[in-house]
Amino acid sequence: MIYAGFFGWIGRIIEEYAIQILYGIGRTLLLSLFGTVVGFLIACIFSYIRVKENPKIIGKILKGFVNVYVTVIRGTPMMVQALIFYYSFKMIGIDWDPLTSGLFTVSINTTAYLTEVLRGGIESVDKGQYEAARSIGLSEFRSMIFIIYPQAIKNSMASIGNEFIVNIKDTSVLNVIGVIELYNACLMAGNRYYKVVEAMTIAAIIYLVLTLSSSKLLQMLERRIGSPIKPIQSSN
Amino acid sequence: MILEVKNLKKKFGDEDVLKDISFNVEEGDIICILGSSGSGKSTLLRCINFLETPNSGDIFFNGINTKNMNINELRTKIGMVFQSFNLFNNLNVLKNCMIGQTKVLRRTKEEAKEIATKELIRVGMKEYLDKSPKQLSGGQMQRVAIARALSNSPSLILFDEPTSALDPEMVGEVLSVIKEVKKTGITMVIVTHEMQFAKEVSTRILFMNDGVILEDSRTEDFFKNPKTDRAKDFIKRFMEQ
Repeated sequence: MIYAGFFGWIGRIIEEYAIQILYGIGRTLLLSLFGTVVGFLIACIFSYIRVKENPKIIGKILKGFVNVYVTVIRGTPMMVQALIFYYSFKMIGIDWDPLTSGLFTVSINTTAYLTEVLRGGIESVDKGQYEAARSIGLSEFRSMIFIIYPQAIKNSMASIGNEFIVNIKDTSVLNVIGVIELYNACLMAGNRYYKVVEAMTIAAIIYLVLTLSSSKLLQMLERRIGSPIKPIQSSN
Repeated sequence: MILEVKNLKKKFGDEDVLKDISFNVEEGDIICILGSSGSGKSTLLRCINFLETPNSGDIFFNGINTKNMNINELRTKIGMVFQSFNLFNNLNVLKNCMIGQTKVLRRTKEEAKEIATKELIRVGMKEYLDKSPKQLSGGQMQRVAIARALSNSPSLILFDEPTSALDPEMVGEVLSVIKEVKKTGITMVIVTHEMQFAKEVSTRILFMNDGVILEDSRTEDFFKNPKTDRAKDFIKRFMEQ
């Protein structure tokens, strides 16, 4: 078979590197899904620390930590974070593979964004409901768990979903520490024949399919949970 | 004596909102707290179940100093109805009235459901058990909020201006529900601007002005023979309406 022209090369790269590209897709999805889920779980705790009024010294320290964390992580590129984490852990003797390091980085990164999203979600629930929950005897913790968070999360669904979609694209920067996710897999395939444009076209199309189908899926999910009372715009 | 408030003081910043408040509530009392806006009525009410923390003073509930009580347990015995209803928007009407019972009082689901339904029937909301709060009118929301407070079987209910946020045509339905609740014999403390209602329903009036209780008298006496000029003015303005 003779390969020629732009589409010919695209066909050839796909044919030869199908397995690697599929692995790349798998890693990209793993990184973004894992990052969003772990980030969401930690953000649930961090957002609570952020909104809680705690006059005790330990409360102030925790709040200060979360504030600094959110500011630093949101104010620096994930690519830089990935390099710092990957090599600094190695420096202190933790020998981890690029994928684990990537999962760590994307989780740390997503936590910061979702902490802000959830804080907005919590603040969108009127304080009266919290007071009412306390007035019937629910503890502070239970009021948050049973009354405030269900609404805060529902109100933030659009932004949480958006964060997942952003992660699908942004995890491509993890190639700097050697994670072979979708972008990196395609690039390596393209480099074999010096056909970067063709390889990146493949990557772009796959990214587009992933983000569009995720966005459709999330819309369906949102509709099932019920439309949010006050949608909150994502910050990134 | 179900409630005894002694030398209660509350400041917001530099402002003395409550200046040395003392009063008693006997079992079965229906007490209306009257007074102009900013006189400290709502703050006093909110201090009773510690939604506001008093700066000093003691509150005794059934003879026990509340300082020695678990606050969440105390709150199950003191129901509260808010001006802005504050229903839980993530729960339907029935579950709004069940969550306190199951999570705090540890009643079984069946028991909680039975009690919640009974209270919702009392306030005339039987047809709305599975509705979301967002589907209700203001008056209906407040009726559910009253049922929610009653569902914990409290011995005292606090009403914080329960009709102030309502459209005029809905005030009547909420006031008649409160009159209905009165028949159960439960003790009530009501902050209100509805003078006619206060006159009809209460056994005692606390008249507040500028952070102090100016008058504490039987309802009849208060409206017939107010002792202070301030109260006389207040009643006169109401009569002229």
